[in-house]
Amino acid sequence: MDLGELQKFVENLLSDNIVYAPMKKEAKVFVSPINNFAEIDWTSELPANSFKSVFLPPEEILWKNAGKKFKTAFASKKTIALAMNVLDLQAFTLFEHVFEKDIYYQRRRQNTFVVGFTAGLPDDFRKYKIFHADYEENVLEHLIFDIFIEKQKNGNFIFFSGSEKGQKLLEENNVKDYEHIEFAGLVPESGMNPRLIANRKAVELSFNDKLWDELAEICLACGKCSVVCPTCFCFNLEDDPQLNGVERKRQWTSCFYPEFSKICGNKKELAEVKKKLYFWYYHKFVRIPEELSYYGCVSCMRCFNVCPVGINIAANLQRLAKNQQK
Amino acid sequence: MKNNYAYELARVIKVVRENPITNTLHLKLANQKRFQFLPGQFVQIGIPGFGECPIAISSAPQDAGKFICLTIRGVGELTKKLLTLKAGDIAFVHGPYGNGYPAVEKNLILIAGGCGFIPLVSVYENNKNRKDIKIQILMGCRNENLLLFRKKMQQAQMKHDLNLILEETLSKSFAAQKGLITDLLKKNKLLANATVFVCGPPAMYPAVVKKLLELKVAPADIYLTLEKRMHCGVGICQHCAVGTKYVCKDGPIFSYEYLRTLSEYQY
Repeated sequence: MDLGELQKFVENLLSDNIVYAPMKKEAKVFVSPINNFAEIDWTSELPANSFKSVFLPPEEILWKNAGKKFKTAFASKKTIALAMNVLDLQAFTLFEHVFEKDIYYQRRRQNTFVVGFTAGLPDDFRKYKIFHADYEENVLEHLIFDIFIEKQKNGNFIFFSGSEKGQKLLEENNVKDYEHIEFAGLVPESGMNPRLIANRKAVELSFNDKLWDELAEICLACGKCSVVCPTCFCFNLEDDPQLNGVERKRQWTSCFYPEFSKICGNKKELAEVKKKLYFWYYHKFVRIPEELSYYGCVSCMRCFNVCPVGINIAANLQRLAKNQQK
Repeated sequence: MKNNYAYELARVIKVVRENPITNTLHLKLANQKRFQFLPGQFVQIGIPGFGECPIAISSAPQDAGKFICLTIRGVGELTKKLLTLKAGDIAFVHGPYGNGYPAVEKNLILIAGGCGFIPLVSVYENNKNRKDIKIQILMGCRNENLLLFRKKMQQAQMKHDLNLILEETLSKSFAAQKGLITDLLKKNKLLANATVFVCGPPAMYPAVVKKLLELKVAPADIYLTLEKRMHCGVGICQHCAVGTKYVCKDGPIFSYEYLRTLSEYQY
């Protein structure tokens, strides 16, 4: 398929869906709602934000209540997450497992098409400092998506389907030339990624490592890292009283926020910044790998990019691993 | 797919005032006849506009087909509001959640600090008539006014080895000593071959666990109930994570055998 045909395909999608895709704005690429094909960035540059809010909105209403009556409204807008890079697809694959039994997530997912994209590894891919997740050869087999598009060196595009839903959409759009890839589970046949195991080991028993004290000295506990992180999915349930009843909302939160661990008597388990930092890393490198044998961090380095004091997750992992060997 | 965030309506059928700041609500759930739970499990109870919170079930599992009891101390906005519920009112609940206490196969020691007696009373009710095990209760409370389940305590004191210690004053209605829960551990001979269930404020755990270990109780025989902030109740929202587990889903009851592997619980 050439660029013209891709444009036709995407324009068809644009006609009756809300489409989110990477878009160049000034010097950076951002995931944004788009209106036409020309807005889409096809360079494979990692967007500054992730696709997280498409699948887990920063705020959603779970129900409205008045008296004994509860009204539940599920998301129904037809949405497409278009040109999702492999790292964000990894984070999405994690969400698919974490929110497997969450009715609000699943209803939204029913109305959402996930279209991955790669233009191959960017020439300067070293800048991604891939330290945890891998670009493996058979990467697509272990990712969840409906359609995946790969840009070849000659400028043409090849298509893959990853679900029946994706196959149907391709057929409806007269795309006949595609390969179907069956999801082969989170863990490759060869076993869990050794890097995932090594990073887990480095973090798990590291609470007394000096690194955490040093980071706590500089960390502002602003929570920007967790907002931008594609695998952070902590949330609060909050009640919002309205004139005609109450809305219960699910809202993003962060383990860096002061009320995250507050219990009665104003006691906070995560009162010290050191504990917050350790909790955040533990979630990514120990708890998620233990629960799902999968990445809790996809190496996107967005946390480093937004950190006001330059906390570098890749460098910290290296240091913990080194200290652990001592 | 079940909506985990939806409530079931429950009818408040009776309210018992335990002490000036604590009520026990007797609730009849919509699906009460089919309702089952294990001692130590909890439900989320809420009032729209005030949020929801986890509350341990304090009644006997044998009564689950008829009603459940939630014993609530008014310490925050929601719990104070819950104290205003009276017989005939509607309550909003969902659950039960959590793992519950393991089945009791040895002698049983219950160590409770203050409100910590709430989930343990369900364990006690479930095991009190057993002939094959002995039960010992060590209970600490700030003062007599804050005691819970007085009738059950009186019955327990007749039937089992119940030891009460009060921090501030002596009791007029119960045989009690003055001091802290750890003093009871020093003064009383613990039952041998026993499982120990401990529930109380977090500050109580290091001292109690240290003492139990000194007394050669195996970490695998010590179970602690953890209290953490919770939102979802099903192990997603991350607030209640403890190590690689969640208090809402894998807890709230954890063996010390597991907890001692985590840096924050190495007493």
